[in-house]
Amino acid sequence: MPETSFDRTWLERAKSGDDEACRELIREHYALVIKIVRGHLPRRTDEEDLAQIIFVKVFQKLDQYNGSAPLSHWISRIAVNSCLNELRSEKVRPELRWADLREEEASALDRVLEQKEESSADEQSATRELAGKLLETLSPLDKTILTLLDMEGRSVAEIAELVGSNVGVVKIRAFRARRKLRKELEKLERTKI
Amino acid sequence: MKRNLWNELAKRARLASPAPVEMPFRFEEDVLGAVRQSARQPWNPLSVWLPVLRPALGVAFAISIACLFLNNKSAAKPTTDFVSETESLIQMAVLNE
Repeated sequence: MPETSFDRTWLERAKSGDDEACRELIREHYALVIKIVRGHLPRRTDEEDLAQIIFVKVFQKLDQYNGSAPLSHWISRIAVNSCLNELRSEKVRPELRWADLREEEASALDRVLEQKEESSADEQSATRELAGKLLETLSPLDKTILTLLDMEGRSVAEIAELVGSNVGVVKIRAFRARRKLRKELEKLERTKI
Repeated sequence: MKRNLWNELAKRARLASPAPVEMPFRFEEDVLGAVRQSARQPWNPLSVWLPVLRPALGVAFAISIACLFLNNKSAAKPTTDFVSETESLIQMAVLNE
């Protein structure tokens, strides 16, 4: 996959410390990084702070980038691993009960249970938040795998490359994590007030 | 057939339009400032070994506790040393003669 507007010349300039090229690299890949950060964000972590940490790592390791994979893939890998490390530093994984859900999230779950469609952007956003809360009950690696697979629609092979694992492990972990979330949702349904 | 609630929820969440992406004001400057600051900090060789040294220290501590425990246990036991038993038997035999 060829680089878009950030080509080899810009990359060489960024490697040599050219400020304008570095700014261009950040502008070009900000959307990619923030999308990953939002999908994998640990609780109590500011998305801007985490995005900044990721870009600092990118610049610190830029000399190691050899161009064998597209730059966006390389940056994605750093972003996913940074999120994974942040998630691992969080020891507590909350258990979810119906009473813990915000009103909008409870309504989102009701819509899923009653098979009703979301009608507004706010309802869609509440559905995403509910899915995010459920994912937080998983282990860091399982959360990352399922976010990439079910929320971002990435392939198993792509995920294996991003998290530095193999396809079989990713498939097994995804299967177990989905089963756990299905049970969590059934439990939530039972605790409904 | 039982409904798979997670699959349904994930599908809806995936189809939901994501929040708009807008880079915060001066974000690039903040990143470049942080990069320059990290480059100014002198390199500490200990930082390379810290991830290895920390668990090693933990393992060493656990081993020393285990050794102390085993040592204490063996000291409490009455001695059943074959050599010392034979030695005392010989001494008794000599005394009896």
